Amino acid sequence: MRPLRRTAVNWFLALYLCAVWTAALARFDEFPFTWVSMYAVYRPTELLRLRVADAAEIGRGLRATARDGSTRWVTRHDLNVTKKHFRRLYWQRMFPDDPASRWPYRLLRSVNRTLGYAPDDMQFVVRLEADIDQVSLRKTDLAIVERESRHVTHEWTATYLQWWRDEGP
Amino acid sequence: MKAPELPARIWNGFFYHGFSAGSLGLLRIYFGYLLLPFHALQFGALLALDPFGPAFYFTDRIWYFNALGIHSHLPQLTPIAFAVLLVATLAMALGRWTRASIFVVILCIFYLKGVRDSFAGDIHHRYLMPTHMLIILLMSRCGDVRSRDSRARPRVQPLAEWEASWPIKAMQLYIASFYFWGAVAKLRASGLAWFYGGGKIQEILVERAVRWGGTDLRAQIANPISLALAQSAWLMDILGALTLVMEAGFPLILLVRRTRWRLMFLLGVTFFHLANYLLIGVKFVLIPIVFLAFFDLVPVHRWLTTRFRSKRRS
Repeated sequence: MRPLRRTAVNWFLALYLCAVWTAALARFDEFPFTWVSMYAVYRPTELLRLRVADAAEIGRGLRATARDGSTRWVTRHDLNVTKKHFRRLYWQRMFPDDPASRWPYRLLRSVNRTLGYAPDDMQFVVRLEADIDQVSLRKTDLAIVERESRHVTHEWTATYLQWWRDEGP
Repeated sequence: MKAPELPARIWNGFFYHGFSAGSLGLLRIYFGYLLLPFHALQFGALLALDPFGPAFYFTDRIWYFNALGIHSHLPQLTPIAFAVLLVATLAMALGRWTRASIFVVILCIFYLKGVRDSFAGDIHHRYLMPTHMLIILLMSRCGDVRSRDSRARPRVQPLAEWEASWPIKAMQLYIASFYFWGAVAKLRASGLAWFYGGGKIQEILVERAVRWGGTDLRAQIANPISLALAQSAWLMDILGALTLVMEAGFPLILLVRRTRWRLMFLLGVTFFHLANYLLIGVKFVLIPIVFLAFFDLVPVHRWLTTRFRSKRRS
Protein backbone atom coordinates (compact mmCIF):
# COMPACT_ATOMS: atom_id res chain seq x y z
CA MET A 1 0.00 0.00 0.00
CA ARG A 2 1.41 3.36 -1.00
CA PRO A 3 1.66 6.05 1.66
CA LEU A 4 -1.57 8.01 1.91
CA ARG A 5 -1.56 11.58 0.70
CA ARG A 6 -2.79 14.28 2.99
CA THR A 7 -6.10 14.63 1.15
CA ALA A 8 -6.75 10.92 1.55
CA VAL A 9 -5.90 11.13 5.24
CA ASN A 10 -8.32 14.03 5.63
CA TRP A 11 -11.07 11.97 4.03
CA PHE A 12 -10.23 8.93 6.13
CA LEU A 13 -10.27 10.94 9.36
CA ALA A 14 -13.50 12.72 8.46
CA LEU A 15 -15.31 9.50 7.57
CA TYR A 16 -13.88 7.62 10.54
CA LEU A 17 -14.88 10.31 13.05
CA CYS A 18 -18.33 10.59 11.47
CA ALA A 19 -18.80 6.84 11.76
CA VAL A 20 -17.76 6.48 15.39
CA TRP A 21 -19.63 9.58 16.56
CA THR A 22 -22.78 8.67 14.64
CA ALA A 23 -22.72 5.25 16.28
CA ALA A 24 -22.33 6.81 19.71
CA LEU A 25 -25.14 9.32 19.19
CA ALA A 26 -27.43 6.67 17.65
CA ARG A 27 -26.86 4.28 20.61
CA PHE A 28 -25.39 1.69 18.29
CA ASP A 29 -23.55 -0.99 20.23
CA GLU A 30 -22.12 -3.59 17.86
CA PHE A 31 -18.39 -4.21 17.81
CA PRO A 32 -16.35 -2.26 16.79
CA PHE A 33 -18.84 0.58 17.34
CA THR A 34 -20.32 1.56 20.67
CA TRP A 35 -22.05 4.23 22.68
CA VAL A 36 -20.27 2.98 25.83
CA SER A 37 -23.47 1.90 27.51
CA MET A 38 -21.86 -0.45 30.01
CA TYR A 39 -23.43 -0.09 33.45
CA ALA A 40 -25.31 3.01 32.21
CA VAL A 41 -28.81 1.95 33.20
CA TYR A 42 -29.83 2.74 36.77
CA ARG A 43 -33.30 2.96 38.22
CA PRO A 44 -33.39 4.42 41.76
CA THR A 45 -35.20 2.17 44.20
CA GLU A 46 -35.48 1.97 47.96
CA LEU A 47 -34.42 -1.65 47.97
CA LEU A 48 -31.61 -3.36 46.11
CA ARG A 49 -32.98 -6.57 44.56
CA LEU A 50 -30.16 -8.93 43.78
CA ARG A 51 -29.65 -12.52 42.81
CA VAL A 52 -27.44 -14.61 45.02
CA ALA A 53 -26.10 -17.83 43.63
CA ASP A 54 -24.50 -20.80 45.26
CA ALA A 55 -21.19 -21.51 43.52
CA ALA A 56 -21.39 -25.17 44.51
CA GLU A 57 -24.89 -25.49 43.04
CA ILE A 58 -23.75 -23.91 39.81
CA GLY A 59 -20.80 -26.25 39.72
CA ARG A 60 -23.25 -29.14 39.92
CA GLY A 61 -24.85 -27.87 36.73
CA LEU A 62 -28.29 -27.48 35.20
CA ARG A 63 -30.81 -30.18 35.96
CA ALA A 64 -31.88 -31.61 32.59
CA THR A 65 -34.80 -33.94 31.89
CA ALA A 66 -34.79 -35.91 28.64
CA ARG A 67 -37.75 -36.94 26.52
CA ASP A 68 -37.56 -40.48 27.92
CA GLY A 69 -37.93 -39.09 31.47
CA SER A 70 -34.34 -39.61 32.55
CA THR A 71 -32.59 -36.78 34.39
CA ARG A 72 -28.99 -35.68 34.54
CA TRP A 73 -26.86 -32.71 35.50
CA VAL A 74 -25.49 -30.78 32.54
CA THR A 75 -22.19 -29.23 33.59
CA ARG A 76 -19.84 -26.81 31.92
CA HIS A 77 -17.64 -29.74 30.95
CA ASP A 78 -20.55 -31.37 29.12
CA LEU A 79 -21.00 -28.17 27.12
CA ASN A 80 -17.28 -27.34 26.91
CA VAL A 81 -17.68 -23.74 28.09
CA THR A 82 -15.59 -21.75 30.53
CA LYS A 83 -16.56 -21.43 34.19
CA LYS A 84 -17.45 -17.75 33.74
CA HIS A 85 -19.66 -18.44 30.76
CA PHE A 86 -21.47 -21.25 32.52
CA ARG A 87 -22.02 -19.03 35.53
CA ARG A 88 -23.55 -16.37 33.31
CA LEU A 89 -25.75 -18.92 31.59
CA TYR A 90 -26.91 -20.16 34.96
CA TRP A 91 -27.08 -16.97 36.98
CA GLN A 92 -28.44 -14.61 34.33
CA ARG A 93 -29.76 -16.41 31.27
CA MET A 94 -31.73 -19.09 33.14
CA PHE A 95 -33.47 -16.26 35.00
CA PRO A 96 -34.14 -13.65 32.30
CA ASP A 97 -35.47 -10.29 33.44
CA ASP A 98 -37.82 -10.13 30.47
CA PRO A 99 -40.35 -13.00 30.59
CA ALA A 100 -40.93 -12.64 26.84
CA SER A 101 -37.27 -13.16 25.96
CA ARG A 102 -36.10 -16.12 23.93
CA TRP A 103 -33.52 -17.17 26.46
CA PRO A 104 -35.32 -20.35 27.55
CA TYR A 105 -35.42 -21.50 23.93
CA ARG A 106 -31.81 -20.49 23.33
CA LEU A 107 -30.63 -22.46 26.35
CA LEU A 108 -32.56 -25.59 25.40
CA ARG A 109 -31.37 -25.27 21.82
CA SER A 110 -27.73 -24.80 22.79
CA VAL A 111 -27.74 -27.72 25.21
CA ASN A 112 -29.37 -30.06 22.69
CA ARG A 113 -27.38 -29.01 19.65
CA THR A 114 -24.13 -29.15 21.61
CA LEU A 115 -24.90 -32.63 22.90
CA GLY A 116 -26.00 -33.66 19.42
CA TYR A 117 -29.67 -34.38 20.09
CA ALA A 118 -32.50 -33.82 17.61
CA PRO A 119 -36.10 -33.16 18.78
CA ASP A 120 -37.14 -36.74 17.94
CA ASP A 121 -34.36 -38.35 20.00
CA MET A 122 -35.31 -39.91 23.30
CA GLN A 123 -32.27 -38.22 24.87
CA PHE A 124 -33.45 -34.80 23.70
CA VAL A 125 -33.53 -32.43 26.69
CA VAL A 126 -37.08 -31.17 27.15
CA ARG A 127 -36.66 -29.45 30.50
CA LEU A 128 -33.94 -27.42 32.19
CA GLU A 129 -34.10 -26.40 35.84
CA ALA A 130 -32.07 -24.21 38.15
CA ASP A 131 -32.29 -22.61 41.59
CA ILE A 132 -31.23 -19.23 42.84
CA ASP A 133 -31.93 -16.93 45.77
CA GLN A 134 -33.36 -13.45 45.37
CA VAL A 135 -32.57 -11.01 48.18
CA SER A 136 -33.81 -7.50 48.80
CA LEU A 137 -31.47 -5.26 50.76
CA ARG A 138 -32.25 -1.88 52.30
CA LYS A 139 -29.91 0.67 50.75
CA THR A 140 -29.32 2.65 53.93
CA ASP A 141 -27.76 -0.16 55.92
CA LEU A 142 -27.73 -3.09 53.44
CA ALA A 143 -29.84 -5.18 55.81
CA ILE A 144 -31.71 -8.02 54.18
CA VAL A 145 -35.45 -7.30 54.30
CA GLU A 146 -36.58 -10.16 52.14
CA ARG A 147 -35.15 -13.37 50.82
CA GLU A 148 -36.84 -15.84 48.55
CA SER A 149 -35.68 -18.93 46.76
CA ARG A 150 -36.49 -19.06 43.09
CA HIS A 151 -36.75 -22.24 41.12
CA VAL A 152 -37.03 -21.95 37.37
CA THR A 153 -38.16 -24.57 34.88
CA HIS A 154 -37.87 -24.11 31.13
CA GLU A 155 -39.89 -26.63 29.13
CA TRP A 156 -39.69 -27.48 25.45
CA THR A 157 -42.82 -26.33 23.62
CA ALA A 158 -44.41 -26.64 20.20
CA THR A 159 -43.37 -23.07 19.49
CA TYR A 160 -39.76 -23.93 20.22
CA LEU A 161 -40.03 -26.90 17.86
CA GLN A 162 -41.24 -24.60 15.11
CA TRP A 163 -38.36 -22.19 15.74
CA TRP A 164 -35.92 -25.10 15.66
CA ARG A 165 -37.29 -26.24 12.29
CA ASP A 166 -37.23 -22.68 10.91
CA GLU A 167 -33.52 -22.43 11.74
CA GLY A 168 -32.71 -25.55 9.75
CA PRO A 169 -29.93 -28.05 10.48
CA MET B 1 -8.82 35.20 8.79
CA LYS B 2 -11.78 34.08 6.72
CA ALA B 3 -14.42 31.94 8.43
CA PRO B 4 -13.77 28.73 6.39
CA GLU B 5 -10.03 28.95 7.18
CA LEU B 6 -10.46 28.67 10.95
CA PRO B 7 -11.81 25.09 11.02
CA ALA B 8 -9.06 24.04 8.61
CA ARG B 9 -6.42 25.63 10.84
CA ILE B 10 -7.81 23.93 13.92
CA TRP B 11 -8.03 20.59 12.08
CA ASN B 12 -4.51 20.81 10.66
CA GLY B 13 -3.09 22.20 13.88
CA PHE B 14 -4.50 19.34 15.90
CA PHE B 15 -3.94 16.35 13.62
CA TYR B 16 -0.75 17.19 11.75
CA HIS B 17 1.64 18.51 14.39
CA GLY B 18 3.27 17.39 17.57
CA PHE B 19 4.94 14.05 16.92
CA SER B 20 7.93 12.66 15.10
CA ALA B 21 8.51 9.49 13.12
CA GLY B 22 10.28 8.04 16.16
CA SER B 23 7.19 8.71 18.28
CA LEU B 24 5.00 6.69 15.95
CA GLY B 25 7.46 3.83 15.64
CA LEU B 26 7.94 3.58 19.38
CA LEU B 27 4.18 3.68 19.97
CA ARG B 28 3.80 0.72 17.65
CA ILE B 29 6.55 -1.15 19.50
CA TYR B 30 5.46 -0.46 23.08
CA PHE B 31 1.75 -0.88 22.33
CA GLY B 32 2.48 -4.12 20.51
CA TYR B 33 4.43 -5.60 23.39
CA LEU B 34 1.86 -4.52 25.97
CA LEU B 35 -0.91 -6.09 23.89
CA LEU B 36 0.60 -9.50 24.57
CA PRO B 37 -0.43 -9.67 28.26
CA PHE B 38 -3.67 -7.89 27.32
CA HIS B 39 -4.55 -10.71 24.91
CA ALA B 40 -3.64 -13.28 27.54
CA LEU B 41 -5.92 -11.70 30.13
CA GLN B 42 -8.86 -11.38 27.75
CA PHE B 43 -8.71 -14.74 25.97
CA GLY B 44 -6.65 -16.94 28.27
CA ALA B 45 -9.72 -18.62 29.78
CA LEU B 46 -10.70 -19.98 26.35
CA LEU B 47 -7.52 -22.02 26.28
CA ALA B 48 -8.77 -24.10 29.22
CA LEU B 49 -11.48 -25.59 27.03
CA ASP B 50 -11.05 -29.10 25.68
CA PRO B 51 -9.95 -28.77 22.02
CA PHE B 52 -11.36 -32.24 21.38
CA GLY B 53 -14.52 -31.72 23.43
CA PRO B 54 -18.03 -30.77 22.30
CA ALA B 55 -18.51 -27.82 19.98
CA PHE B 56 -20.78 -25.52 21.97
CA TYR B 57 -23.71 -24.15 19.99
CA PHE B 58 -23.67 -20.42 20.72
CA THR B 59 -26.68 -19.12 22.62
CA ASP B 60 -26.55 -15.60 21.15
CA ARG B 61 -24.06 -14.92 18.40
CA ILE B 62 -22.23 -11.68 17.79
CA TRP B 63 -23.53 -9.94 14.67
CA TYR B 64 -20.74 -10.93 12.30
CA PHE B 65 -20.96 -14.60 13.33
CA ASN B 66 -24.64 -14.32 12.40
CA ALA B 67 -23.74 -12.82 9.05
CA LEU B 68 -21.10 -15.45 8.34
CA GLY B 69 -23.28 -18.35 9.54
CA ILE B 70 -20.93 -19.35 12.36
CA HIS B 71 -23.21 -21.24 14.75
CA SER B 72 -20.86 -23.14 17.01
CA HIS B 73 -17.53 -22.89 18.71
CA LEU B 74 -14.73 -24.80 17.01
CA PRO B 75 -12.63 -25.79 20.04
CA GLN B 76 -9.66 -26.84 17.89
CA LEU B 77 -9.52 -23.47 16.18
CA THR B 78 -9.42 -21.29 19.29
CA PRO B 79 -5.90 -22.17 20.51
CA ILE B 80 -4.62 -21.87 16.94
CA ALA B 81 -6.22 -18.44 16.57
CA PHE B 82 -4.75 -17.36 19.89
CA ALA B 83 -1.27 -18.50 18.88
CA VAL B 84 -1.59 -16.67 15.58
CA LEU B 85 -2.76 -13.58 17.45
CA LEU B 86 0.33 -13.60 19.67
CA VAL B 87 2.72 -14.18 16.78
CA ALA B 88 1.11 -11.45 14.68
CA THR B 89 1.19 -9.03 17.62
CA LEU B 90 4.89 -9.74 18.14
CA ALA B 91 5.52 -9.25 14.43
CA MET B 92 3.68 -5.93 14.59
CA ALA B 93 5.81 -4.81 17.53
CA LEU B 94 9.00 -5.80 15.73
CA GLY B 95 7.76 -4.17 12.54
CA ARG B 96 8.01 -7.27 10.38
CA TRP B 97 5.42 -7.40 7.54
CA THR B 98 3.87 -4.69 9.69
CA ARG B 99 0.70 -3.92 7.82
CA ALA B 100 -0.13 -7.58 7.23
CA SER B 101 0.61 -8.36 10.88
CA ILE B 102 -1.72 -5.63 12.11
CA PHE B 103 -4.44 -6.89 9.79
CA VAL B 104 -4.04 -10.43 11.14
CA VAL B 105 -4.14 -9.12 14.72
CA ILE B 106 -7.42 -7.34 14.01
CA LEU B 107 -8.85 -10.43 12.35
CA CYS B 108 -7.89 -12.67 15.28
CA ILE B 109 -9.38 -10.20 17.75
CA PHE B 110 -12.64 -10.21 15.83
CA TYR B 111 -12.73 -14.01 15.84
CA LEU B 112 -11.74 -14.62 19.46
CA LYS B 113 -13.93 -11.84 20.78
CA GLY B 114 -16.76 -13.21 18.71
CA VAL B 115 -16.24 -16.62 20.28
CA ARG B 116 -16.01 -15.24 23.80
CA ASP B 117 -19.07 -13.03 23.46
CA SER B 118 -21.27 -15.57 21.68
CA PHE B 119 -21.20 -18.27 24.36
CA ALA B 120 -23.63 -16.44 26.64
CA GLY B 121 -24.60 -13.39 24.58
CA ASP B 122 -22.30 -10.99 26.41
CA ILE B 123 -21.22 -7.70 24.92
CA HIS B 124 -17.75 -6.89 26.19
CA HIS B 125 -16.16 -3.55 25.41
CA ARG B 126 -12.58 -4.08 26.46
CA TYR B 127 -11.19 -4.43 22.96
CA LEU B 128 -12.78 -1.30 21.52
CA MET B 129 -10.00 1.16 22.22
CA PRO B 130 -7.15 -1.23 21.31
CA THR B 131 -8.95 -2.27 18.11
CA HIS B 132 -9.45 1.32 16.99
CA MET B 133 -5.78 2.01 17.72
CA LEU B 134 -4.91 -0.97 15.53
CA ILE B 135 -7.19 0.22 12.72
CA ILE B 136 -5.49 3.61 12.79
CA LEU B 137 -2.04 2.02 12.87
CA LEU B 138 -3.06 -0.11 9.91
CA MET B 139 -3.75 3.04 7.88
CA SER B 140 -0.52 4.72 9.03
CA ARG B 141 3.11 4.39 8.08
CA CYS B 142 4.07 3.00 11.50
CA GLY B 143 5.90 0.12 9.81
CA ASP B 144 8.29 2.49 8.02
CA VAL B 145 10.16 3.53 11.15
CA ARG B 146 12.01 1.61 13.89
CA SER B 147 11.08 -1.64 12.22
CA ARG B 148 12.53 -4.69 10.51
CA ASP B 149 10.63 -3.62 7.39
CA SER B 150 12.38 -0.24 7.25
CA ARG B 151 15.79 -1.89 7.63
CA ALA B 152 14.93 -4.20 4.75
CA ARG B 153 13.79 -1.24 2.63
CA PRO B 154 16.38 1.51 3.36
CA ARG B 155 15.18 3.77 0.55
CA VAL B 156 11.77 4.34 2.08
CA GLN B 157 10.86 8.04 2.24
CA PRO B 158 11.24 9.40 5.78
CA LEU B 159 8.02 10.25 7.60
CA ALA B 160 7.03 13.87 7.67
CA GLU B 161 5.69 15.37 10.89
CA TRP B 162 2.11 15.25 9.59
CA GLU B 163 2.40 11.55 8.72
CA ALA B 164 3.68 10.72 12.19
CA SER B 165 1.26 12.96 14.06
CA TRP B 166 -2.17 12.20 12.60
CA PRO B 167 -2.32 8.54 13.71
CA ILE B 168 -1.36 9.42 17.27
CA LYS B 169 -3.76 12.35 17.47
CA ALA B 170 -6.57 10.24 16.00
CA MET B 171 -5.99 7.62 18.69
CA GLN B 172 -6.02 10.29 21.39
CA LEU B 173 -9.28 11.65 20.02
CA TYR B 174 -10.93 8.22 19.97
CA ILE B 175 -9.80 7.36 23.51
CA ALA B 176 -10.98 10.73 24.86
CA SER B 177 -14.29 10.31 23.02
CA PHE B 178 -14.75 6.82 24.47
CA TYR B 179 -14.65 8.05 28.04
CA PHE B 180 -16.77 11.07 27.20
CA TRP B 181 -19.42 8.83 25.58
CA GLY B 182 -19.44 6.84 28.84
CA ALA B 183 -20.54 9.93 30.77
CA VAL B 184 -23.09 10.85 28.10
CA ALA B 185 -24.50 7.31 28.08
CA LYS B 186 -25.03 7.34 31.84
CA LEU B 187 -26.75 10.73 31.69
CA ARG B 188 -28.93 9.67 28.76
CA ALA B 189 -29.90 6.33 30.25
CA SER B 190 -30.25 7.30 33.88
CA GLY B 191 -29.76 11.02 34.43
CA LEU B 192 -27.87 12.45 37.38
CA ALA B 193 -29.34 9.78 39.69
CA TRP B 194 -26.57 7.48 38.41
CA PHE B 195 -23.97 9.62 40.12
CA TYR B 196 -25.37 10.55 43.52
CA GLY B 197 -27.42 9.22 46.40
CA GLY B 198 -25.71 5.87 46.26
CA GLY B 199 -26.50 5.49 42.62
CA LYS B 200 -25.28 2.78 40.33
CA ILE B 201 -21.92 2.52 42.09
CA GLN B 202 -23.50 1.32 45.33
CA GLU B 203 -25.69 -1.12 43.43
CA ILE B 204 -22.77 -2.67 41.57
CA LEU B 205 -20.55 -2.87 44.66
CA VAL B 206 -23.23 -4.71 46.61
CA GLU B 207 -24.27 -6.93 43.73
CA ARG B 208 -20.73 -8.07 43.03
CA ALA B 209 -19.98 -8.58 46.72
CA VAL B 210 -22.95 -10.87 47.36
CA ARG B 211 -23.38 -12.52 43.97
CA TRP B 212 -21.84 -15.81 45.05
CA GLY B 213 -23.11 -15.54 48.59
CA GLY B 214 -24.59 -19.00 48.65
CA THR B 215 -27.08 -20.05 51.23
CA ASP B 216 -25.45 -18.07 54.04
CA LEU B 217 -25.11 -14.55 52.73
CA ARG B 218 -22.90 -13.18 55.47
CA ALA B 219 -20.45 -16.05 55.50
CA GLN B 220 -19.79 -16.13 51.78
CA ILE B 221 -19.51 -12.54 50.74
CA ALA B 222 -17.01 -12.47 47.92
CA ASN B 223 -15.63 -9.03 48.63
CA PRO B 224 -16.25 -7.57 52.13
CA ILE B 225 -14.42 -4.35 51.19
CA SER B 226 -16.93 -3.67 48.40
CA LEU B 227 -19.78 -4.23 50.83
CA ALA B 228 -18.22 -1.95 53.46
CA LEU B 229 -17.63 0.86 50.95
CA ALA B 230 -21.19 0.58 49.67
CA GLN B 231 -22.54 1.44 53.11
CA SER B 232 -20.91 4.87 53.15
CA ALA B 233 -23.32 7.34 51.55
CA TRP B 234 -20.88 10.26 51.39
CA LEU B 235 -18.20 8.04 49.83
CA MET B 236 -20.64 6.88 47.16
CA ASP B 237 -21.45 10.53 46.34
CA ILE B 238 -17.76 11.37 46.03
CA LEU B 239 -17.07 8.36 43.81
CA GLY B 240 -20.06 9.24 41.66
CA ALA B 241 -18.92 12.83 41.27
CA LEU B 242 -15.36 11.76 40.45
CA THR B 243 -16.65 9.33 37.84
CA LEU B 244 -18.68 12.08 36.17
CA VAL B 245 -15.79 14.56 36.26
CA MET B 246 -13.28 12.02 34.97
CA GLU B 247 -15.41 10.75 32.09
CA ALA B 248 -17.02 14.02 31.00
CA GLY B 249 -13.77 15.93 31.45
CA PHE B 250 -11.53 13.44 29.68
CA PRO B 251 -11.52 15.32 26.33
CA LEU B 252 -9.85 18.25 28.10
CA ILE B 253 -6.65 16.22 28.10
CA LEU B 254 -6.40 17.00 24.39
CA LEU B 255 -5.81 20.64 25.33
CA VAL B 256 -3.23 19.90 28.04
CA ARG B 257 0.33 20.16 26.77
CA ARG B 258 2.23 19.66 30.00
CA THR B 259 3.32 16.06 30.29
CA ARG B 260 3.19 16.07 34.08
CA TRP B 261 -0.47 17.06 34.20
CA ARG B 262 -1.36 14.46 31.59
CA LEU B 263 0.51 11.84 33.56
CA MET B 264 -1.24 12.76 36.80
CA PHE B 265 -4.66 12.61 35.20
CA LEU B 266 -4.01 9.31 33.46
CA LEU B 267 -2.55 7.79 36.62
CA GLY B 268 -5.83 8.72 38.27
CA VAL B 269 -7.78 6.98 35.52
CA THR B 270 -5.49 3.97 35.85
CA PHE B 271 -6.27 3.84 39.58
CA PHE B 272 -9.98 4.00 38.69
CA HIS B 273 -9.66 0.92 36.48
CA LEU B 274 -7.57 -0.92 39.07
CA ALA B 275 -10.15 -0.20 41.77
CA ASN B 276 -12.93 -1.40 39.47
CA TYR B 277 -11.08 -4.65 38.95
CA LEU B 278 -10.38 -5.26 42.63
CA LEU B 279 -13.80 -4.20 43.93
CA ILE B 280 -16.22 -5.32 41.23
CA GLY B 281 -14.21 -7.55 38.92
CA VAL B 282 -14.41 -5.36 35.82
CA LYS B 283 -11.58 -6.51 33.55
CA PHE B 284 -10.55 -3.11 32.21
CA VAL B 285 -7.45 -3.30 34.43
CA LEU B 286 -4.97 -3.43 31.53
CA ILE B 287 -6.78 -0.84 29.38
CA PRO B 288 -4.28 1.87 30.48
CA ILE B 289 -1.92 0.50 27.82
CA VAL B 290 -3.85 2.70 25.39
CA PHE B 291 -2.73 5.79 27.34
CA LEU B 292 0.69 5.43 25.68
CA ALA B 293 -0.87 7.40 22.83
CA PHE B 294 -0.93 10.53 24.99
CA PHE B 295 2.84 10.71 25.38
CA ASP B 296 5.82 11.24 23.12
CA LEU B 297 7.69 8.01 23.73
CA VAL B 298 11.02 9.20 22.29
CA PRO B 299 12.28 10.75 25.56
CA VAL B 300 10.75 7.89 27.54
CA HIS B 301 12.56 5.32 25.41
CA ARG B 302 15.78 7.28 25.61
CA TRP B 303 15.57 7.41 29.41
CA LEU B 304 14.80 3.71 29.67
CA THR B 305 17.64 2.65 27.36
CA THR B 306 20.09 4.95 29.16
CA ARG B 307 19.11 3.48 32.53
CA PHE B 308 19.32 -0.05 31.16
CA ARG B 309 22.77 0.52 29.66
CA SER B 310 24.16 2.13 32.81
CA LYS B 311 22.86 -0.80 34.89
CA ARG B 312 24.50 -3.26 32.53
CA ARG B 313 27.81 -1.41 32.78
CA SER B 314 27.68 -1.43 36.56
